[in-house]
Amino acid sequence: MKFLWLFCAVSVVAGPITYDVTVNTSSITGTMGSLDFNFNPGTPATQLADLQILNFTSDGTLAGDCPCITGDVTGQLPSTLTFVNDTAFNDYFDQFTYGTTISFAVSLYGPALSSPDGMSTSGSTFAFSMFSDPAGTMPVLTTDTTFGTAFTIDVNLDGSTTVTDNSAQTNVTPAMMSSPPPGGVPEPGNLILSGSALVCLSLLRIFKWRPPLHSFRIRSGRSTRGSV
Amino acid sequence: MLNRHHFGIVFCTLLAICRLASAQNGEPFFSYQINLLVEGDDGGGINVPALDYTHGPHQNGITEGQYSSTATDCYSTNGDITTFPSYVAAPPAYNLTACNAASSFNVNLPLMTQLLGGSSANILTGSATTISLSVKPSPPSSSFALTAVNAVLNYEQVFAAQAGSGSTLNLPFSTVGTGNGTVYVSAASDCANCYVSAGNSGPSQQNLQLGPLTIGPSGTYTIAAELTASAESPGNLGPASSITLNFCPMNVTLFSNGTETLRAYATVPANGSLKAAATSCGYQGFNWQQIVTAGACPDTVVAVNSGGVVSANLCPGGVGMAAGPEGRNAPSFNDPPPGGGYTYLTYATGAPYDTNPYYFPMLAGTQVDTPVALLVNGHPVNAIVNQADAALLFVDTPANICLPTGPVSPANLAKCGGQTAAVGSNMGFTGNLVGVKTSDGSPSPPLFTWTYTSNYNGTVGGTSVFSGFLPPDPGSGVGYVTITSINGVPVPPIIPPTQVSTTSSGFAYSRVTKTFDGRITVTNTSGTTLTTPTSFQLVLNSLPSGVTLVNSMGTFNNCPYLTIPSITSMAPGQSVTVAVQFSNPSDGFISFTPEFYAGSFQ
Repeated sequence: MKFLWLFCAVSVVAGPITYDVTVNTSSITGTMGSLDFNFNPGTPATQLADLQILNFTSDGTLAGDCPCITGDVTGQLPSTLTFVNDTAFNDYFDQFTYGTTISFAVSLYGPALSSPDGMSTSGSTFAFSMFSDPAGTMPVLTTDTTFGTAFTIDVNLDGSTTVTDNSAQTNVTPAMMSSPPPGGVPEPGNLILSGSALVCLSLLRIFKWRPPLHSFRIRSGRSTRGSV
Repeated sequence: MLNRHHFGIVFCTLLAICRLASAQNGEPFFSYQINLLVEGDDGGGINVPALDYTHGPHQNGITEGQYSSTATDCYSTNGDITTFPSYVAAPPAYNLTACNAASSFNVNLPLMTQLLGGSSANILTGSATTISLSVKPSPPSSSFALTAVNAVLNYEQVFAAQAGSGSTLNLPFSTVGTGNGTVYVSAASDCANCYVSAGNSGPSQQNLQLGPLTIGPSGTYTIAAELTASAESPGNLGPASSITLNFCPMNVTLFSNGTETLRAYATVPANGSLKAAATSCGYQGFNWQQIVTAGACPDTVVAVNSGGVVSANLCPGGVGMAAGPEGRNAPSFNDPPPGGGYTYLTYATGAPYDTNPYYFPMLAGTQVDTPVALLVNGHPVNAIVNQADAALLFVDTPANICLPTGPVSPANLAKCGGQTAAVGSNMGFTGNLVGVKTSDGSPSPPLFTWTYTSNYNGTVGGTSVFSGFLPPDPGSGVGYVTITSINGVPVPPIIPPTQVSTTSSGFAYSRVTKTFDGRITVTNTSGTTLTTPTSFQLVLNSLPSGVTLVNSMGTFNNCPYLTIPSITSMAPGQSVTVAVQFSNPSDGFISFTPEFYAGSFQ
């Protein structure tokens, strides 16, 4: 099992990539809560990257005073959201009454993924969180009781991405892209890497493996279920 | 009246109380004990005649207990100030309630005797850095004569030391008095014999110095003052007597440790004005001093030496300057030296850069945003010492082409007389922030001090320098600055940024913690194993204003740091990753300069 994880860890996908996300929210159906998406750089020495939330579907209801947008974010759910990491805090927050499921795709593209410059010293991180209250203070469907994220996706300095999934109800899997992202057509090598990562994720799910916390715990109180 | 012995008891008691408050509220905080004593003529305080308005003369005057009130409190900006009662049979007890920074207060002191009505002219005012007492008696309500009115103020303020246990601190302050005022000020920390004091009396302004005070295990120190202000006999009521203490705390942060150039910025707490701080401290302005404590021969720095340089500081053959064990045991000397400074450094006019005993021209620190125009080996440079009246700049890129830190080119070797300095030689310095005294322009005792070395063997402006106001000449040599102590506390060795790389993840925002969270990774790029006797420390220098590292292990050099757990060595290529959690109220970019240290901070 450890061998499998190591294999997946080094099989990170370099280049533009899309992840399919599904969340089983049946345990909190009817709860008036909220959703938060943010995509932020680290320090100013971060290469440009873009992110889109695509195909947002749910039997729940978007409602309330928001959406509340901070930074370089455009669009409104359930239509496409576009984030650019050129400001420090890029956030989309919306009230939401949960149904039984949420699904959407996260597409990452831009120079940081397609042509890493080797000069930047900071990556970018996407975080998705669900809350059981409209104000967004009580995280739900996550084991990350400290920060409250359901999952994060790091854009690494080599253009690869790393998923940290903190939610047993959430599946994050690389998508087999049927259409090119705005950043361009992925190279065949990337598709191969994407495919290998998908296999890894699937195997990890099948074996329900969890890496040892002491070796791969990123934040205290947060467990990690897979990495591509 | 409290004497020195009483004062010490009160002081020690309050020190314990304030530490409790520190644990509850964090640091810095400020607390005060104010004792207002109204005593009989046998003990000082308000002296009343040996006459009782009701019962006739007292044999021993009015007793202390009848006319004393004592208050202990912490002052907060939201008005947590106790009222001073008068005419109390026993001092009431006031407990610490809240302690906040930026405290200030203004308390009317109704000094009363049975023979005098209260007077609103008696006022105690204070803040984090100043405290004053003003006393003016009311006219007597009857025809008997008063001899004098004295008010005694005991005051304490607890500070977190900028450097930790074992560091030393100088605490200059000034007193400004009118009428008859006396002051006895002390500072102490919780270690054996860690106590210093100073005193003064009389009107006008006087500068006093506390220190050097050694900081004890708690990392805190307490300034205490006993002030007595006197008004003249009511038969000759003059202006109110008052006395004001102006303490002179300054923040100094050092930058660029591990590079060729060392920088320092001195600022006034709470973003205050340099000019105002200098005035309140009794200075014309602030300046720096640098002392060369180590200089190996040969080097190619030449003193003008129109007089004042000790011959022992001159390397054989008249080329280069020596100091310290590496320099023929010659004594330390000011940088630039007396007698015209260095031959490589002049004002833009060509006049000698003779600023001894200061590093910059004496009043450069008072000239806001005004460049000091210089020539370094003929290369122009404009140094703005006082930046926006908010920060005082120090900068130096010391360079000695004769140091064998790396290869010495044949051309440089020829300039060095055909030989290099001894292997392992460094240049060594002590830097001080000082005030320029208003009275005579001489430097105050150091307000902040640090030591550092440099083994940089390149050039600045094409030459070797001690006072180096230009950046290093690219590719001219290798080596870097190493800070070795701050205010007397040893600093562990820095691992220069040429030997490690530091990267970070993105910083995801958490609505739960209201923080930006991510990871910082440090990688050994040196090709050799890095080791530490204790642990590695990652310092985040130059964080933007308002950004704080929530999960910091503490502060070093006014910057937060994180301890790398569990490892004492890093093989070439090995990385370590630490989680970071920032509070960033403005949502702006989070930038920082990482510094990696091989050892623990004291």
